[in-house]
Amino acid sequence: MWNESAARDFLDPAVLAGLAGLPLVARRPMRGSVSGLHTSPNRGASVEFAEYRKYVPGDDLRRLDWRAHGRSDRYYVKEFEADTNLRCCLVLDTSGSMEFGSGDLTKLQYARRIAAAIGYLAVQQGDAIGLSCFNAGIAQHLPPRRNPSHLRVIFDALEQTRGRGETHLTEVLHELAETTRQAAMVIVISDFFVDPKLLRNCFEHLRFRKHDLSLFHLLDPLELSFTFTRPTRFLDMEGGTSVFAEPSEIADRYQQALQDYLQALQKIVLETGVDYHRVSIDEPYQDVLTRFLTRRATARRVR
Amino acid sequence: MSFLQPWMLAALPLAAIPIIIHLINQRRYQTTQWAAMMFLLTANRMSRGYAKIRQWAILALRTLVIAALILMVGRPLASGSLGGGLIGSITGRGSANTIVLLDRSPSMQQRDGDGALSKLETSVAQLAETLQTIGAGRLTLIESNSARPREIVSPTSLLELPETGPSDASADLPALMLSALDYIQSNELGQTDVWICSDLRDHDWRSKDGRWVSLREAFAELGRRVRFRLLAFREVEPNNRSVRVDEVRFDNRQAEAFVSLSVKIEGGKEVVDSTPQVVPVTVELDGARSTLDVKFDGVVGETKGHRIAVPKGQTRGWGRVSVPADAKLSDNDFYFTYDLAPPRRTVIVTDDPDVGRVLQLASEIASEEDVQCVAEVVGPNAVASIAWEEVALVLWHAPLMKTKAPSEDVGDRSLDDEQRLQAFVDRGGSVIFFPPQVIDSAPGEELMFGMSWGSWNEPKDPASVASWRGETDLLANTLAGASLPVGSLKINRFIDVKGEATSLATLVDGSRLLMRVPTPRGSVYVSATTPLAKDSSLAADGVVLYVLIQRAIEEGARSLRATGQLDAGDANVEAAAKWTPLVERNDRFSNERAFTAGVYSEERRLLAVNRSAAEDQRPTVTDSQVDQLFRGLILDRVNEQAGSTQSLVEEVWRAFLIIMLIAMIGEACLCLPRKIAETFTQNRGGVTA
Repeated sequence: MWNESAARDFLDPAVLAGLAGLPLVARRPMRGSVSGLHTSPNRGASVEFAEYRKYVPGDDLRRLDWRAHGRSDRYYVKEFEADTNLRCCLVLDTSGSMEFGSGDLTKLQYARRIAAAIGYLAVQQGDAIGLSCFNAGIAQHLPPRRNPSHLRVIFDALEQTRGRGETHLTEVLHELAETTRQAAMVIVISDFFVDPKLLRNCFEHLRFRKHDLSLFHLLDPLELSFTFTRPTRFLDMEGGTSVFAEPSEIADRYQQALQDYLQALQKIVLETGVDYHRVSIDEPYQDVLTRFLTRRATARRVR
Repeated sequence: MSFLQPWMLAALPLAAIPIIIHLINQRRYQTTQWAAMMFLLTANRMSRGYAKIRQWAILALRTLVIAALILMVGRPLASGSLGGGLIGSITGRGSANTIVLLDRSPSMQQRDGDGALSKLETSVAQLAETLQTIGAGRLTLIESNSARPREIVSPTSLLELPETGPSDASADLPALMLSALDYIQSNELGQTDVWICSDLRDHDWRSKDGRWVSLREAFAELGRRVRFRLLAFREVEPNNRSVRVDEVRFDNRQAEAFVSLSVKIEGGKEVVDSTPQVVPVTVELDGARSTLDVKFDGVVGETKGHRIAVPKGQTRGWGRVSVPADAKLSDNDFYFTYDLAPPRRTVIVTDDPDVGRVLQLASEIASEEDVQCVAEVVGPNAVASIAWEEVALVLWHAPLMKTKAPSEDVGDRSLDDEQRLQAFVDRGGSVIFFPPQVIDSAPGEELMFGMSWGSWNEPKDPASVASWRGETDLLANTLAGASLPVGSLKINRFIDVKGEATSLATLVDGSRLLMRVPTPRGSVYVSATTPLAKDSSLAADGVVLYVLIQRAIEEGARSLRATGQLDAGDANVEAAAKWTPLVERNDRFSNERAFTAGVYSEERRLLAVNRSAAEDQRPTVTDSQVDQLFRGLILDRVNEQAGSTQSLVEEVWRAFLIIMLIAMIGEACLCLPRKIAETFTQNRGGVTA
C-alpha cells in the first residue's frame, strides 16, 4: 500500500535513475547470506568453474565428476565460484560540524543525499544496507538488511538526523569494526576533523576485519578557501572554544594547516588501502557517486 | 628643518588615522559558526612573527604616508643650521629683524673658474632668495661703503639696490658690526638675525683690531637676541693677477716729455712657475693705448721705468694700466695721474734770523733747473698759518713743543703744532730738527717722535765727524761716487740727543751729530748742532748743509706729488660728489665716487682713485680666528662658493613626496593577496586513493 508521505528532499529520482546502471561492487570478497553480485570467499554453485578437489567422505555425491573418474580412476569433486550479496554499513557523521554549509547545502544534507543514493542502489541489487549515525558515540544504529522495506527505515532515520555534539569518530570506527560481522562494506561519510594519526589505527582495524572501507570526506568550499575579509569571531559548532582572528593575518597559516592535514590524510589512506573520496560539497553529488561507482566497477577484483 | 607653513603641522595627529581605523575595524568584527576549528587552532599555534611584523609594517607605512603628506604640505625647508629650528618656525618664522652686513670690497668681485656670478652677486642673490623664502621681517642693510643702516622694503629689492653693487673700497667689518650694534640698541630690536656676507679677508676683518673685544662684549650682553649668520666665501684664485703702478714720474725737461712708470703684477700663486710667462699690460695714457709686455713668474712680475712719450707742452694727464681679464675684474686695472712737480716749499721755523737766513739760502737754491724752490722763515708763533699741504720740508729751529693734556689748556697752540707736524710727517713730509739755543724742557723728558734734547757740549777743540753713512740717506755719496766733505766739518758746540734713532753721522767722541728717527711714513731728522758760526762750520762749508737740505726737500716733495693718488674710500664723500669723472666704471653711481676706482678732476688737480694696496694681499682670517672673534656669540656659518646657484634654504617637499610614494608602494606590496586562489583550486574536487 502506497504511503502518502512527503517527498524526501534528499532523494532525487533523476539522479537515482542515472546511477541505476552502475553496479555497486565490492573490492574485496564479501560474506553474504544469499546469492548476489559479489564474489564470496566460499565455493558455491555458480556457473563459473573454480577448481577440482579430491573427494572426501561426506561430500555430496552429486558433485562428483564422473568423467574425471573415468579418465583417472580417482574421485574428484568439481567446485564453482560462489556469488553472494554484501552487507553495506553506512556510517554517517552527525556531529555539530556537519551542519556547516556556506552554500545551498550543509555537509549533513549532502551526506544524506550520498547515503540515500548508495542505500537505494544497494537494495536494488539485493544487498543488505545498514546505517550508523554517530557523533560523540553511536547515536543510531540500523543493522544491514536486504529487505526493500528496510530502505524506508533507513530513509526515515536519515531524515531525522540532526547535526549536534562533538565528533568521536575514532572510537565509533573501532566499535563498528568489532561489532560488524567480517567482510562487510563500510562507507563512512564525514568531515574527518580528527587528527589523521588517530584515523590510521581505525582504518587498519577495519581492514584487519576484512571490511571494504570507503570514505567520503566532505569539505565546504569556504573551509577550503577561507575567504573572509573582516575580523571574525569563529564559534565552534561542536561547542569548543571560540577563536577571534583577523582573516588577512591568519589566512596563510590556516591554509598551511589545511594542506598539512590533507596531505597527512592522503598518505594514510594510500597506506591503508582505503577508498577515499574528497568531496567539496558544491560539486553535484551525482558526479561524486558516478566516480565512486565507476572506479569500483573497473577496479580488479580481489578474492 | 623648518617649515614655511608650520601651522600645517597641527594636522600631524591625522597620521594616526590608520591606527584608529585599524582599532575600529578590530571592534566591528563578525561572528560566524565554524566547523573547521582544528585548522584555526593549529594556525593560531603556528609562529605569528612574520604576520605580526607585516601587520605592523603596513600600519607604519600607512601612517608614514599621511605624515609625509602633511609634512609636504607644510613646505619643509632643508636649511641645515640656517633654519631657526622647528620651534622657531612654529613660533613665527624665526627672527623678526634681519640685518645684512655686506662686504663690498674688491675681493668680493672674484668669480670662480666658470663663474657667471661674482662672490658679491652670489651672496646678494642667495641672501635675497633665502630671506624671501624664510620670510624676513624688518630688513636692514649695512654695506661696507657707508657703514650706515638702511631699511629695505623687501629681500628682492636687495638685487636692485646700487648699494649692493661692487665697490673698490675696502670694508671695515668692525665698523659694520659697530653700526649694527648701534642700530640694534637705538631701535631696541628684539630677536635679530645678523647676516654677514664676506670673503673673510683679513684686511677687511681687521682681526687684530681692538674694537672686536668691545663689540663681542656688547653683543654678548644682548644674549640670545642676536644671532649671527656668516655667509663666508672661501678664497679660490689660483690664476688671478693684479696690476699696480708703484711709481709715476713725469719729465718734460728733456727734448721730449715722457712719463715713466713702474708696473708691478702680482699673482695668486705661491710657487714660482717653472716657465715664466709674458703678460701683455695695456697702458692707456690720456686715451692713447699701448701694450707693455711684463715677465711674470706666477708670483710677481715687475717693470721699472717704462717710458711713454707725451706731447711736449703737456703738463699733466692721467693713465690706466690693465692686465687681461681674469676671474677677479676689480684688480685688473690701475689708474694713475701725472703732473709737473709742484714748487718745493720749505718752511723754516726759527726765531734766530741768522739761522733763518742760512737755511733759507740753502733751501731756495734749486738743485734742478726746472724745479722751483721756495722757502719762508716763520716764527714759532706763526706755525698755525703755514699751508701744510704745499710744504715739502720743515726746518725746525725752535723749542720742541711740549705736549700738554687738552684739559689743562684747551687753547694751547703747541698741542696743535705737534698734531700738525705729526700729520705732516704721516703725509710723507720731511722734518729736520735743529737744537734751539734755550732748552725749556726738563732733561730727559720725552718730546716728539720719542726724542728729547740733552745738554749742550762745548769741547775745547772743535770736534770733527768721525764716520757717516755714505751709502744712503742724506749724507750719501754723489751720483759720481764722490763722498760729501762731511769730514771737514768743525763742530764747536753740539747737544746730546736722546731717543731711538739711526745715526747718520757720528763725532769722534761717539756723540751723534745727525740722526734719523724711524717713522712709518715721511722722514724725521735731528741735527745735534746748528748752522750758526759759533756752533759749527755747516754754514761756512755750505756744501754739506746744502746737499742734505736739498735731499730732504726732494724726499718730502715726493709726498706732494703723490697727493693725486687716493685709495678708494679715503676721500670725503661730499667732496668726491663734486669731482668730475674723466674715467670711471660705468656700473657705479655718482654718489659713490669716493669708493669707485677711476680718474677724476678736482678744481686744480687730477685724482686717481684705486683700490688700496692691502686689497692685493691674500691673507684671510681662519676658521679658528672667526670662532675666536665670535666667542660667546651665536654664530652659524655657511661656506659658499662664487657662482653657486644652490640656495641656502631649499624646499624639500619633493623628498617627502618620494617618501610618500615609496611608502604607498611598500604598503601595496605588503597588502598583496596571497596565492589563496591556487590553493583553493588544488583543494577542490574529489581525490580518490
